[in-house]
Amino acid sequence: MSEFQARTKRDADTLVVALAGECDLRSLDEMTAILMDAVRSSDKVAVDLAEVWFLDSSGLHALVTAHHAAAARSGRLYVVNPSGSVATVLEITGILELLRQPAPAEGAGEARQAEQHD
Amino acid sequence: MVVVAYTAGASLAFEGFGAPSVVVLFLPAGVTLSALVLNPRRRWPWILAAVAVTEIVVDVSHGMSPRWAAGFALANTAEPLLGALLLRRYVPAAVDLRRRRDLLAFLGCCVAAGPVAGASIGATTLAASVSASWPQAFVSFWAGDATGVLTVAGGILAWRYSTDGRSGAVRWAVSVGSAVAATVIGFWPDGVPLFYLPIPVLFAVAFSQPLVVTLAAGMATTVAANLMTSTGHGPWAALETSDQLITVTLQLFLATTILGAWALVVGVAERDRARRDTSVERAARQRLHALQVLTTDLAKAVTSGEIAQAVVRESIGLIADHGSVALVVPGSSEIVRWTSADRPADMPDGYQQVPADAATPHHDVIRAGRRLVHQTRADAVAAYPHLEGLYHALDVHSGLCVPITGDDAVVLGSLAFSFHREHAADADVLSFAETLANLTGQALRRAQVYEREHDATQQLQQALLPALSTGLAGIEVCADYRPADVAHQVGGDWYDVFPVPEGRIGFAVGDVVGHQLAAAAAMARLQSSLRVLAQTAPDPAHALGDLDRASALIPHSRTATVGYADYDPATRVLRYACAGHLPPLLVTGDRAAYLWDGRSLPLGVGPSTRSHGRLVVPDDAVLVWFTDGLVERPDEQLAATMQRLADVAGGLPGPDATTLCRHLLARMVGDRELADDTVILCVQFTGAAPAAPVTAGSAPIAPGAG
Repeated sequence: MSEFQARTKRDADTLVVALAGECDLRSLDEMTAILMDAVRSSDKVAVDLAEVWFLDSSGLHALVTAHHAAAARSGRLYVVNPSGSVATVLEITGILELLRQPAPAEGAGEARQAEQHD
Repeated sequence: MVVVAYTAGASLAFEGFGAPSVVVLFLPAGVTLSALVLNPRRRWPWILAAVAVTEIVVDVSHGMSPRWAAGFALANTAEPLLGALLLRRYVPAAVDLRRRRDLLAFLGCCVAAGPVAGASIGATTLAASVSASWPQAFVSFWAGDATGVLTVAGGILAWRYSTDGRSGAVRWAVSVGSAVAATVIGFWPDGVPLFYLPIPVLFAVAFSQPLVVTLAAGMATTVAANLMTSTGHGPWAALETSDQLITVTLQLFLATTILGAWALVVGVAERDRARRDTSVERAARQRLHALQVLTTDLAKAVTSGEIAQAVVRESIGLIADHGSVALVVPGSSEIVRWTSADRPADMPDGYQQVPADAATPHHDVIRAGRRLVHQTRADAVAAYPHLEGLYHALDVHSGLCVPITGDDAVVLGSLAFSFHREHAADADVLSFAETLANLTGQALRRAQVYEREHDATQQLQQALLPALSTGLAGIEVCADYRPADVAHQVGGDWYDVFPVPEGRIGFAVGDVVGHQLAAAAAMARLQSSLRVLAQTAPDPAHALGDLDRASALIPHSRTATVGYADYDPATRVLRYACAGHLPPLLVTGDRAAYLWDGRSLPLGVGPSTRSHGRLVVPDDAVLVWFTDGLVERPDEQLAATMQRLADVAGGLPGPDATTLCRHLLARMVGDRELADDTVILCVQFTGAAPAAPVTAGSAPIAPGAG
């Protein structure tokens, strides 16, 4: 009983994909499809992990795959609001560094947006 | 036949109902119309010619001039021709006069429209021949013909297209007799108004008898009423008014009475049909719903056993009183059987293995691949005398057994149904049983593919993992691999221990994301790549960098995490690096600490600076390395489980690798259901290298270490 959910909403020039529940092998295909869709429809995709309470190597795989797809289109995908185990996994694997939000130096507007997500 | 009936009817019109100048009830109109409707069009000219000739002969024999007889002949052929043409246009197939639509078409085309044409020609002829008033002649001609068509054609068509069983002669006689009696009684006394008596009689007949009987009774009433009136009986005969008016009002009265009865028949028929449809539909809906429930459960069932249980639990009771599912054990001649749970207490229940040579319907159906039906207990006992006691105990009076076939018509098993009544296996039950067998067969084929794939993946994975029964110089190793319990979650976790140049020993732990064989294959290629690359790489960081580049050519390897370390027994130097993998845990005495250096990104993620950690390990320290299945779970924080693992490891004073490995698995996994593959590798650094570096028989570990 994989409890995985995703909601997509647009916030200015960023497409925010809010994931919830368990991102594991059972939700891998669905999660990959949702993220790839998002990457195809927006140059800037923020994946909100606030409601995700479990993310294993399968979930990482989906994030990284979508990240690469975004980079291939000159877009970018980053994660916001990881917490608990999710943050730990992202840190341990080094993926958090890869999927970090755009640095404030890239633009004041983006920085303000980032604060809203926190 | 048409000629005889027409002659009889036309003569009756002349002889029975009154003077030729006054057109009265004309029954032959219905005869001609029915003849046309019931015959193919190529015969119509012959029928119409016969009718025309007969009409002229009858008319002339009654003293009419042939000139006017030809006019009536035209009227009496044009009328049915128009009626039949119109009716066939709206109702091309069988005419069911119990259906509202067909009845309306019949009334509109044959009773109304046709006679209007006939009456126009007839009234013109009458006006010309006997100087009758055209409107009066028209109305009475039309009324007479319309009533004739209504009663005679209605009765004949109802009889020809009747789908009801044949009514007995007694019912006919009683129905028609009561109608005639009621009419005669109703029309007999002049002073007492009783002419309505036929109405309740006809309605009672309509309510209880088929349409054809009702119409026959209606025709009898019509003939009787007209005869009574023309012989001077009844309220119409007593009227001081014109003959035309008498004819018209009498026919109108009779027509409305018959139509009322007819409407009642239609209403009753429609009600019965609706009721029958509802009950058939309800049964079909129930079965459909049950099939949907079963399909859902079959989709959830992973193994053959679960499928058999779902079928026994949910479908047998839908059609039968008892039943069982038998499955052939793959690669064996044995069958296993699951029976429905509704047996007497002393009966074997549930799952059983049955010897291959037992004589049961299941065995015979599986052997022959054809269904078996026993419609009585005597049949069943004749075929299986030794099962008589069972049939008696279960009160079985008929039975059905159908094969479950797989690909290439291989019989996978069979479904047996038994019933408390004889001849229960009717067409519905047979087709439902076949449907169940098909569904079960599909589910079984899927399950067998899954079971084969699952077994193959596990075997492949086990085969790829190194045998660690013998030691390498300077270390003791114990490792374990637990496949996930959840269906379709056998993934690509691995561990490896192998010699590398300069007397060092390399060991690795890895985790490939994905399903089944694809993940296992990626794991196998990554594992062998690392073994090769580690031979030339100067240190673990470079080994992982090389593996990262190599992984670009390995499908399904992206985001795989790998931990790799090498150990030099001579210097006790341990170098380790983690490509996204969980850090190793170093257990020294009663202390356990994670080694957080040498971290980099997983494989295939992007450019990453690879580094490695380096330390000199104390004697008898144990390095514990694992995959995420050991510590990641949805209901607990990863940091907390990692801390717990460290506490458990540190709580065991001076353990050896084997003890520690078992202890950690027991404490961290226990008997909980594993959602992910789990690997644990424990490497104990035993210190001084023994003289003989490699023991013979350590197959996966190449010689030359030491």
